Amino acid sequence: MKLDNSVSVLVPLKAEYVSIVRLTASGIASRMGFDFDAIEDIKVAISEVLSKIIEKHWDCDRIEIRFDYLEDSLAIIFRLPGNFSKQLFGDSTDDFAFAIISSLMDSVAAGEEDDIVLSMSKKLERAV
Amino acid sequence: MFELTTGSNESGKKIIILSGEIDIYSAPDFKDSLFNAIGEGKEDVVLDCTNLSYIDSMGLGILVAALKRLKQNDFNLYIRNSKPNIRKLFKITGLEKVFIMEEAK
Repeated sequence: MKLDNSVSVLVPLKAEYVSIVRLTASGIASRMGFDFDAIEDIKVAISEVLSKIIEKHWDCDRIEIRFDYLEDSLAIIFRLPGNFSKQLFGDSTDDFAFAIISSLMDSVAAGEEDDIVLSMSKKLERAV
Repeated sequence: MFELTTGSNESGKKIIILSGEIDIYSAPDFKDSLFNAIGEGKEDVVLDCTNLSYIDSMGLGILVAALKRLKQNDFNLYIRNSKPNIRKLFKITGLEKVFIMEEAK
């Protein structure tokens, strides 16, 4: 069941803002009760996704990262405002970034809507 | 932000001390600093990661490039005293078998 306390951050799609999103994620995950290791996992996965998007040099100025507090997990959705349908990894799922993201998170999925690039989640019970 | 300093040599190995965070923002500076410190890669290099709190896949890629430069001259790159969260990334990416991982002396 989704609770009514999602958090969204909208930041410029620039390398210098990745650490800000990382800090935000850390605060949210901590508040939800994730332990230190799980918080580190989430921070790393978020940074990898953002770095990959920035590397692509897509024609977007800003990115929205939404954190949904679910009953037993944290869902993180990366949204590029505008009509968007590009694949973040495409065929290159063998690189370091994909290996890291898929190992650290419980689920990773390409966006189902046009402006969602990727969504991923981490279960809370794994951290207990 | 990250910091890279060169320590005193130890048994013929160059000691490079890393601290802070290496991510997409700091990676270009990290690459320049590391390759300057390694030079032509004609001695073994130890990266002391005691105070390195974060590294991403871009940083790992730079370490692989540095290792390649050293290997061309039959030298090696040692990763010393990395924190558990960083060692985890080496394991996930298979790099723990590529680099020589060692604990602090």
